[in-house]
Amino acid sequence: MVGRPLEQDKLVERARAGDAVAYAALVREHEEIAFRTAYLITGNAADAEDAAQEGLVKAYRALHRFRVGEPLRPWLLTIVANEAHNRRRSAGRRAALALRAAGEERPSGEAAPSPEAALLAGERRAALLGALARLRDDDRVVIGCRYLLELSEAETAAALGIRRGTVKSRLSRSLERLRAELGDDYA
Amino acid sequence: MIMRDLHDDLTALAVEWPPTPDLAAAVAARLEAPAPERRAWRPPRAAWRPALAYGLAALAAAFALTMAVSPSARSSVLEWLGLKSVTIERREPSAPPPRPGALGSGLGLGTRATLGEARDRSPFLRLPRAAGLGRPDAVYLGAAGVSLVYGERPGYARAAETGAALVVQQFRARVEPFIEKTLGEGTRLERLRVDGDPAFFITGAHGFAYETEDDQVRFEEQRLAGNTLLVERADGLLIRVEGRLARERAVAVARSIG
Repeated sequence: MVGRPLEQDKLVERARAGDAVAYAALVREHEEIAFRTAYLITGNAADAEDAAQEGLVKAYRALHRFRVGEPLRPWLLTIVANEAHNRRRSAGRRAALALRAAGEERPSGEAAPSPEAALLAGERRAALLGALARLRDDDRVVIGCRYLLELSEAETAAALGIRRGTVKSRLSRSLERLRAELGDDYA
Repeated sequence: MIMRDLHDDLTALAVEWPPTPDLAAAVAARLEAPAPERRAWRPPRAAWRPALAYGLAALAAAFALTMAVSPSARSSVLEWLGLKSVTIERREPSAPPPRPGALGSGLGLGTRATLGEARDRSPFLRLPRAAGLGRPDAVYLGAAGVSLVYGERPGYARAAETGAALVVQQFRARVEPFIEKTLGEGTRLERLRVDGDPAFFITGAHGFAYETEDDQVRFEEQRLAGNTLLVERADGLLIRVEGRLARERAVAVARSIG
């Protein structure tokens, strides 16, 4: 419904013809989400950078397979996430993804909280991130895609390498496990 | 013990991500293909049927009359004219009520959603990247498309009645050629260009009529006390920036949408 597909398609067309500048413009638009998706999967910044860069170069070479008129973002995320999954698998077990809460909760536009409420909110965020870190990788990635990266269902499916139709059920199971991890407050 | 809503808490959770590396430069450097000279490019403007436009202009003139009367008069006059394709955007009472106190909940923008859900609906959704704006405080999905609501920020004063400082809407529609005729009394319209696209800066507005992709004419009410910038982009996207903003700031917000 919303967007500028014409401009994207034109850039894709030029990139297909070998215009690296046009492709760089497309990458610029999506590099942050590509990197963060890779980070969510690999769990460390160096691997995420490698995976994102490798994925974006591969996507350039595969641009002839991209269907013009479709959104580019989920297509790029599929390729980058695949690279990230490969890296995670080959690296074996490693420390869980370290995510820190940003200084403040996303603004809700409501009145500023009291210091007590702010402290409570801080503890709650820490508990939530702690529980997320204890989850299995698959659970953490699907929740991270949907809530932390705010990807659409189609993009989440791309990042996970699953069918779009299974995102909802996968997310719901993972949220159940997160709820169990958190205990009584979210029972 | 307070039962907490996990969905709400996860939606509100903001995470510190590592800084994003300059992947565009790194990728460009790895591509061997020579880069041809960059030319400025604009997408072709979609053809517009003159007959339809003429009809709409006439319709819009009728609108201007009804708007000068009262909101309740609008629908009855339209009925009287037998204009079945015309609908007036109303607040949506059937939509589930948003969380009490959530920013923009009283603006009738539709159902509260996460950005992910907004992307489910609009795969091409882009956020404005204007300096100091950050991410939206609330997102709504309604008949008019996606609405992003921002609270007070430096340079963006909040409206006392609603608490919101800025509403950015993106939907597929166009307001030419009848924009001037749909504006009510006491409204000032200034025509300008934003990156080559026709744009309208409206002060003292009460709302405006627009036509959707499927040839429906709808009326969108003013949400905040303030000014409205409409940008009719060549790709068919209508961007609306509304708030107590000076023209330059509103233009900067609209331009920052990729």
